[in-house]
Order: sequence, then structure tokens, then C-alpha cells
Amino acid sequence: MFVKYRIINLFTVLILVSSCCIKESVEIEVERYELSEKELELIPYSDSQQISFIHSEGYVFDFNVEGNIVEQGRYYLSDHYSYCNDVEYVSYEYKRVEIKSNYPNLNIEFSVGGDENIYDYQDFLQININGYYYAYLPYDGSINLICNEEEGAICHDSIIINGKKYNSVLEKPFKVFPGTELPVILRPKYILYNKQQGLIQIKMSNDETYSINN
Amino acid sequence: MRRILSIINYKLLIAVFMLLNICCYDGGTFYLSEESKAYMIDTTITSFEMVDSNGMTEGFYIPQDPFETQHHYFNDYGNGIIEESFNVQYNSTLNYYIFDFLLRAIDDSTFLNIEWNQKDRFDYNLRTGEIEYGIAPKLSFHDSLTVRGVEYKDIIEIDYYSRIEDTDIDTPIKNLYVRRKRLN
Repeated sequence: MFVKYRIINLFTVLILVSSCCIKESVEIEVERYELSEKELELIPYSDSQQISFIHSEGYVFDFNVEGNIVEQGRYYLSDHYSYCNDVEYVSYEYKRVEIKSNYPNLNIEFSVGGDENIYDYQDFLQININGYYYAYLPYDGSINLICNEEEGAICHDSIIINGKKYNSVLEKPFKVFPGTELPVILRPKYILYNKQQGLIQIKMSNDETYSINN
Repeated sequence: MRRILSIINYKLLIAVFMLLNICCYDGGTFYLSEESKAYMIDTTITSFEMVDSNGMTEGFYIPQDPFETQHHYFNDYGNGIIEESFNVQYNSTLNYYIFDFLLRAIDDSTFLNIEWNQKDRFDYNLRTGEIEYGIAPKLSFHDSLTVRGVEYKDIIEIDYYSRIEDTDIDTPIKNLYVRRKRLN
């Protein structure tokens, strides 16, 4: 009886011990991507900057720069809630800037670099309006915007907007994802952007425009 | 004798109580008034454009999810009361505007309810001509009005100018609504 009792006790202890980890799990960075200075400069806005824009009918309004952040994100390659096993991750640096106007009620976000939801490091500048209309501006190893005409891009060596000349401007159509098309005629159609100024113009589907006003 | 009287009184009390219930709480269905049906939006027009006073165009559309496509319905509250309602919501394509239009039968009245961006709303009793809830705009009724060169008839003008301090910054100061058609 005594022996049986001791065997049960020993068995219980063994179970308890086996459920403990020999060592606590650690998070291991296996790859790291950082943005270069030139990539960071792809979004040329500074904190609290105000940018004047004008509608094609003459209405003038301001965008205010808000939410100018550069951060490191993590993409976990395995279950990072596991207690006993080491967890590997890839870290990405990303930059995200928002510009907002009160009226028209526009919230435009610019981002470069991968974040924790993307496995492959993305080499494009992403722009979205109000979280719905997206444009992707790819860039090459020299951090020049790529003009891929097969995606509907138009390359302007120079363009004059409101009497001012802008060089190396990329005109890119906005993407609408399948299944999310709105049953409307009016929508943002093209975005014009360059590295020096940032957003230069938004062209609407009815040919109205919102342009930088210098 | 006293016992018989008390039984009679007791039964009388029950009868009165039942009568009261029949007269004041009999459930029933409340219908939109005939006059209010002229305000129903033509929901076959699923999108349209509007131009503001600065010349900027905005598009509005009816969301196509299943909940929003049923516009004319009867609300059954489970207590025997059923109310007829007509509801349309429009979202804007560029800005963050949401326009909600509701006609609702409550008791012997029909209410016109207009709401912007789920913030500013008013309830107008079509029977009494009174605004009974919300930040009250100035309501004007026009036989006809010309807007951007087009003449419209049977216009309701909703003007928040005198209440501008009380309304949200994104609520339009003035709306013009055409009966039998849509917001203009």
C-alpha cells in the first residue's frame, strides 16, 4: 500500500515536472529590414507641416500633416504565444504619414516599408484616401519611382500645375479591389506624386482635381 | 349578501380592467400616412452626385449589403405593435458622409427623420407639423425652386444656419429635399 502510494506520488511529480519548460522561450530576430535615408525621404512631409491645395473650381483648403511615424514592426514566423518554444520573427522598419483636411473631409495616408502583416518586404510607396482608395508607387534600387505603363502609369518628365513646374512626376491610377466596386460614377481616378513635393494632384473621374497650391 | 356583493364587485373590477386593456393597449399595426408616402425616395436611383456651394462634387450611393437594401418594412416589437417604416441610407464616395432618411409610423402620426453622419438628427411629425426630437432646423416648404438651373417642385428646405453652433462640423448647413424624388 505504501509502495503504491509512493508510485502514485512519483508519477504525479513526473507529470508536473514535464509540463514545465526547461527554459523560458525567447524571441529571436532572424531577419531585419531597415529603410534607407532615401526611402524615408520618399515621403517628404515634416511634422505639423501645412500644405495648401486647391480644387479645380477654386476652393482653397489646407492639409495638415499628422501622424508622422517611423517604427519597427515584427512578423512572427511561428506561434508567438507559445510559452516553451523559441519564437522567430522578421522585423521591418516602416514610415507612415497622414495628411488631413477638414473640408473636403480627406484623410490621406502614405506608407513605405513592410509591416508585421506582410511577409515579403515591399518596395513600393502605398497611398490611400480615407482607407478605401489605394495607389501603389513602386520604386527601384536607386529609390526612383518606377513608371510601369502596363499598370496604367504615366510618366511626366515635368508638368505644370497652377503655374508651377514639377519634375519627375508619376501619375498612377487608384486601385479598386474586386468585389468592392461602388455603384457610382464619381471616384478618385489618378494620383500625381513626386519625391520632392509628395502629393501633387488627385484627379477625379469627373475630371475635377485637387491640386497643390503654391 | 355581503359575500355576493363582494363577488359581484370583484368581477366588475376584472371586467373594467379588461375593458381598459382593450381600449388602451390593443396592439395593432400603424401605417405610414398617405401624405408621407410622397416623401419616399426612389430607391431605384442607387447613386447620384451633388455639388456643394464651393463647386466640389460628391457622389452618394446606397450601400448594397442585405440589411440596407430592404427599405420598406414593418417593425414588429413583439408586443402586438407593428409599425410601418421606410428607410434609406446613402454613403458618400470621397468624404465621410452618411445620410439617413426614415419615415416611421408611430401611433397616429408619421415621423420624418433625417440624420447626417449618425450625429445630427431631427424627428418631424408630419401630422402636427412639429419637430419633436433633435436639434431643430428651420423647415420651409416651397412649391418650386430652381437649383443650378433646374426647377424642382415640392421642396423641403432644411436649414441649420441658426443652429450652426449646435451641429456637427460635417453636417451640411442647408439641404433641399424634393418630394417624390431624392435629396437635392
